Amino acid sequence: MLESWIELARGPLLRLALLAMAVGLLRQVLLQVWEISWAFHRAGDQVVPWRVALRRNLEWLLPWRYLQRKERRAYNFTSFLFHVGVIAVPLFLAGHVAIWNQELGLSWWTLPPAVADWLTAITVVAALGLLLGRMVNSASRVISKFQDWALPVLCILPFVTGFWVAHPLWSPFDAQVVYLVHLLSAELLLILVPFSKLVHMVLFWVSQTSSELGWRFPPGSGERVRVTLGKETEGI
Amino acid sequence: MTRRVQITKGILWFISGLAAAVTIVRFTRGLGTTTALSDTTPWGLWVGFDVMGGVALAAGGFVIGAIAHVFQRERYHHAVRPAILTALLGYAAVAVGLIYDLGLPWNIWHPLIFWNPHSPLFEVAWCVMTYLGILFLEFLPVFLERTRFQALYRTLLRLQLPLIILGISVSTLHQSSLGTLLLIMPFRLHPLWYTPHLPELFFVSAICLGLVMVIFESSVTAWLYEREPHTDMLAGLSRFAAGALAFYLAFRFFDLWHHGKLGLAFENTFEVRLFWFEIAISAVIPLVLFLIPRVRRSHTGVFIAAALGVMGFLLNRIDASGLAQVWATGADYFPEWTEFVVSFGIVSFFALIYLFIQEHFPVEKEIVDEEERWLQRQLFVLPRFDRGSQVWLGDATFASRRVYSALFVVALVVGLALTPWQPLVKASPVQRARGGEMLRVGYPLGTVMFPHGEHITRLGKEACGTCHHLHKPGDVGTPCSECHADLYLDTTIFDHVRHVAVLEGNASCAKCHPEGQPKVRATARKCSSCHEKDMMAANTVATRFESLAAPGLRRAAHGICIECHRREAANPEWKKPDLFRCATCHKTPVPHVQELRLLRAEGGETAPVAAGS
Repeated sequence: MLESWIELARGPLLRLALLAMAVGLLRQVLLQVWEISWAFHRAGDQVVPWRVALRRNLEWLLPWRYLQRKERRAYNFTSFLFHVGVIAVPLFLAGHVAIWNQELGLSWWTLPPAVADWLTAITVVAALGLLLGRMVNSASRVISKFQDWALPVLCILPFVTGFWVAHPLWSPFDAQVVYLVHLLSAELLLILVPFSKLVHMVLFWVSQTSSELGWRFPPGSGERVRVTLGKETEGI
Repeated sequence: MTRRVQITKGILWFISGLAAAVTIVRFTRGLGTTTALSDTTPWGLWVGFDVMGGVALAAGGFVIGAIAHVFQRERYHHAVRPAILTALLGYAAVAVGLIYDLGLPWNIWHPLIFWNPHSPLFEVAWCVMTYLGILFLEFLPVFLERTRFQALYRTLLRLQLPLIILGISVSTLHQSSLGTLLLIMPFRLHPLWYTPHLPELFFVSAICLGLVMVIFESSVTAWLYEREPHTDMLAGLSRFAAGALAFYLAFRFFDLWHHGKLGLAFENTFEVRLFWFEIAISAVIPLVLFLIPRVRRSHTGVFIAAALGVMGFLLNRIDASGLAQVWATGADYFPEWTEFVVSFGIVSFFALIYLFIQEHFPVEKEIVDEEERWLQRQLFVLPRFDRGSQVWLGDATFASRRVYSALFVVALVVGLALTPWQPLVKASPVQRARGGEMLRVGYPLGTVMFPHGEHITRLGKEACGTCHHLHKPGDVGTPCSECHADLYLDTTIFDHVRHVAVLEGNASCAKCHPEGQPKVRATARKCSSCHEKDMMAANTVATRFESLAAPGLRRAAHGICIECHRREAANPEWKKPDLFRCATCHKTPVPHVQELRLLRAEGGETAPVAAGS
């Protein structure tokens, strides 16, 4: 019974989750590009600030400057660690690459097992730290919504269970149950990516660029605001 | 854009998304995974609905063209552009549908180069291509009207009449040649549908369908965009439709009577019930409705009559190309849901294009002008914000784009989840080949009489391994059917449990799975590293012996036989250039066909009776 569930989760469901993520992300990217170019098209000032956009993106990809900020230093650093783990472990774990190799014949560099173990542990701890930081800081708490709490928890699940899959002797639960939870939680996460805040994994470069490109008022905007508010007769 | 249009577009996007999912599976996994088609029922819903029905649906283009331009009825000029647009998109949809249905869709260009003037399909293919071109030229002025290419626009307008006449001729040719296609199967098509006058009948019914389709479409567009339908025009078209339907009914029943088949229409079989149902909704009920003057002037009445007519004539095409053939083949074909999804998906996709063109180009001036006014108004609508995040939701075009694409993506994912990834083929086990000199391979469903002795004499004993590429351990000359045990489905030939038992339990994992690596197939030792002694030296196949599944016998045999036959055909010494073609091995009559017929007859099924016999 459990085995057939695992078969389902590691075969069709996994393919489906990956496909859903790919298609959903493609939609988000296309919409963003479309909407930015539309906003840009209507803007009065049509200069593309390539350098600024590129610099901002690189600054966020290699956030050396942001890590040196005085305020919330621990939180920033935890967040950075979390992102390293969350990207590196799923992509470069030897077991995962072996699956890619088996299914599609693709193969790439893999993390040494010990490093992968440590990174997994760090990721879990960092995620807990981020949740704690969100809880402690009142400003963060106020602007947090359901998915801000749910997504970190959901991110922790595949990492913890993945660790137990790699080290079944340390796991307090039945190995098959752990494996199934690992698969299902990871798949749920993949499917949620394009429909939640996790979409920032592809849209981060857009958000850095769009503020430069899109946030410009088209000519005559002031007039339209007045008409919309029904205040044509009043002066500006 | 009205609320109705928005909701309709949402639904159309959703269906298109589902169809996109099935499309992916259809073009990666093939027809066997996405259709219930079989060798006995190779034509299903896609041919009946998308191709046969699609062509007939598009007949409105030439019918209205004839009424408005050739017979100079000015009243119907409104209807010309929408009708031509429908025809253009309809034909494009037919081409798309055909690509789904063709087993080797990449060969669709063959009729262009490889002419076979005896084939009705050759005529159909050429007419569809030519007519698509003509329709495009007929419709091009609409695209050009509000652009700066005014010279081209005026030239095309001057060419309008000749183009329309050309379009009518080409349509006449191939609406009827779709009927010609069916002339080839007098013993397969039920006698209530089969007649030597199928071509003429198809032409007449295409005119009927064209007329009801134009009526249907213009009342639907009027409803969608909330404007008054052209009552006079619809009433007039209804009168034309009534005449055409009456003629069609008279033609069909006179033909039945003339060939002495009228009595068949009063038996109690599935086909007869289907026949009367089709006749009722395609012709009788619409005809009666159209004859009542009060119905002709009522929007609902006209809509209902036209909708019934459209469904009825579509059913006629589906019957002729599939349902009315089932009695002869005894096949139990019912379309898979994936077939329905693709059929409706193609229609939805082209309906979206239709709405897009209506909203952006002057097909019907009222609609495009209203659309522009609506867009202008959107600039002065108060912005809407998401309740939770206080994020601006964007203006109406933004918002609808987001909603439509989300619907599409969700439908795509749902579709991918539901669409089977493995062939729907039922298990068709293959029996062990018997006979001496002449082996009966692939019995019962895929029987080929294989001259085993002849091959041995010709190729020599040392060539055995060319075909017997892999033996079961401890066996010699293992028959094909031991591993390729099914005609179509893969058979797993690796038995993990048995390997564990033979290699003595858990301690032996490392014999196949290297220490320190994940225990998956990719990292395990290759089968051939132990089983080399079971592979024959001369083989060309078992070098690829890495897969744990033996393909179905059909694929395996096609691979190994055709590969060799192709090589030998190229050898000028034999003077057999056609050695690799189907008929070298698949000879008729194949002995098992009669046996299958007998089996079916014993099973109490009605044996096929030839029409007129």
